[in-house]
Amino acid sequence: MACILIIDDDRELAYALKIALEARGYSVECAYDGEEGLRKAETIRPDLIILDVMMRTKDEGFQVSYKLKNHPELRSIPIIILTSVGSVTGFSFSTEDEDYLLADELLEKPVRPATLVERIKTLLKE
Amino acid sequence: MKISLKEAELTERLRWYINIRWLTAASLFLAGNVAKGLSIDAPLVEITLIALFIALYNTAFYLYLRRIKSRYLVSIDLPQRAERFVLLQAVVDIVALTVLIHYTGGLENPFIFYFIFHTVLTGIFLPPATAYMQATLVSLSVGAMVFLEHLSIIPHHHMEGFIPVELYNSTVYLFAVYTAFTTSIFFTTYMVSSISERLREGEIELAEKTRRLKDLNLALKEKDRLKSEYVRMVAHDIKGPLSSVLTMLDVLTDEYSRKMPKEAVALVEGVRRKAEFLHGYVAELLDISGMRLKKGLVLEPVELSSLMGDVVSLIDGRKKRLLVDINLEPSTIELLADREQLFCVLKNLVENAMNYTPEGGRITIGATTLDDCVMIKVSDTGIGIPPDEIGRIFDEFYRGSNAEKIARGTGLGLSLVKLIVERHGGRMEVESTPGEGTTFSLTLPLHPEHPKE
Repeated sequence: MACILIIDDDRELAYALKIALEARGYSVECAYDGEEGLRKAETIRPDLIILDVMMRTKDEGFQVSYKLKNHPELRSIPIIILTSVGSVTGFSFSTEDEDYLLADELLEKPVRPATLVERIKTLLKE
Repeated sequence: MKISLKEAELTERLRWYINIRWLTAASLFLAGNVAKGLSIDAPLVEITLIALFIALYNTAFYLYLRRIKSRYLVSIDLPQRAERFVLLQAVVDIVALTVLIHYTGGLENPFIFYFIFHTVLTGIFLPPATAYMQATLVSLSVGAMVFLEHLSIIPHHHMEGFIPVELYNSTVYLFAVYTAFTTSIFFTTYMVSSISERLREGEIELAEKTRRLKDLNLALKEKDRLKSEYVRMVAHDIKGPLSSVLTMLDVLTDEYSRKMPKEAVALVEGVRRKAEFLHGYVAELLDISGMRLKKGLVLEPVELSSLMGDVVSLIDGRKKRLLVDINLEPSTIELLADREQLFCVLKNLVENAMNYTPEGGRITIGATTLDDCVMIKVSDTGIGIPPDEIGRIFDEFYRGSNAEKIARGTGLGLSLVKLIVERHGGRMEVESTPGEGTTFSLTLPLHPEHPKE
């Protein structure tokens, strides 16, 4: 039974996603900022991380993603990033832009639970 | 560097003054000879000498004018220099004229009226104080001449045929003529000066008003930009939580609709529809205000048939069984335009056509070239626009009174379309019959030169 870590400062959204994923048999943990996210990632070693790109500051999502992918033990964990198009960050990102963003998947908000589950399944090779 | 209009005018006037003097010298010389020819007792020698003298100092003035024109072209004190030059010319003229009058009969000579010219000239070109100084100079100069002649300190040159000697010897007469002369000089100075002053004030007022208008215009543009910025920020702040709401509703429906009474399910579905509408509305707001804030145009060759194909492929007319036609004459038309913005224009017009046309209707997109322009038309068989509202259809946030029944919208699309078309240097027109349909026509130059803000 795979374990998923959600890092998002939007508590209600995190809760809703947690419900949706637990209903499909995943075990879910939540963290509400970058720091907490990194700590929990180190302790629980999830199978997949869902990360919101913009938390308290514009850069926070990027920084967390960068740290995760450069962490010796955590770099292999697949990351799905939740983005909102037209967000003021102005970064252009795709999975090819390896310099900017280290993520395995990008999902545009509003997130449809069914779509999210599909992507998770692909990344976890289920 | 160009001279200001006023400065160019100044030097023109100076040149004109100098030219008149050439004419004067010549006429004087001519008059003297004519008088001699007609056996009038005129002091030809003195007249000729004075004419020569006038020609001489006029040459000096002419040379000086050339010098100030070339050297002081850019100078701020050209007006002051011009003023002083006019004064100098007037003073020299007054002296010369006094001498001339003295040799041709003094106060007898009706040509003593010619002092009026200098009075008018100085009244127009010089500040009032200086003009009055000039009037005083004239009065004193002529007064001195009359006085000195009367006391025989200098000889009086009587001119045969002007006025009888007896009259000239009458002090009362002399005094009356002199008074009439001096007072008319001063009154003329007063009248010309005041009128000139008023005109100058009017000019200054106008310049001030123009400057303020420019400032207001800039301020207005800035306010418009701030408004678009504000709308964009607000839309963005609303969009975030709205996205979360949509996801949460999805989860609610997915996981719990089996456990909820059907009324609750229906309510949740209703909430979702409203949330979806809001989300779409805000997304459009964001899009459009972002477009409005764009400053200029990124011009590139754009081929219309491919652009139209792209637009139509984005939009699904099948739900309403709408017929979509694309007609281009000639079949490929290329123009210089900002592709992204032009795409936005067409997309908006076509979307509107689709939204406001009931089922089974028809939409036609056409383009033709005419001279150096292309005219693009988007027609529909939709609900149309009431004739009393057509004038306002391009206003921001304006929606036709009959629009709400058939579709939802922000009312921003058309104002953006018009803005973009005008940025390209083009024109927008609309024709419509309520209940039958609407046609939007836009004319764009094939090769726009400068994007207009």
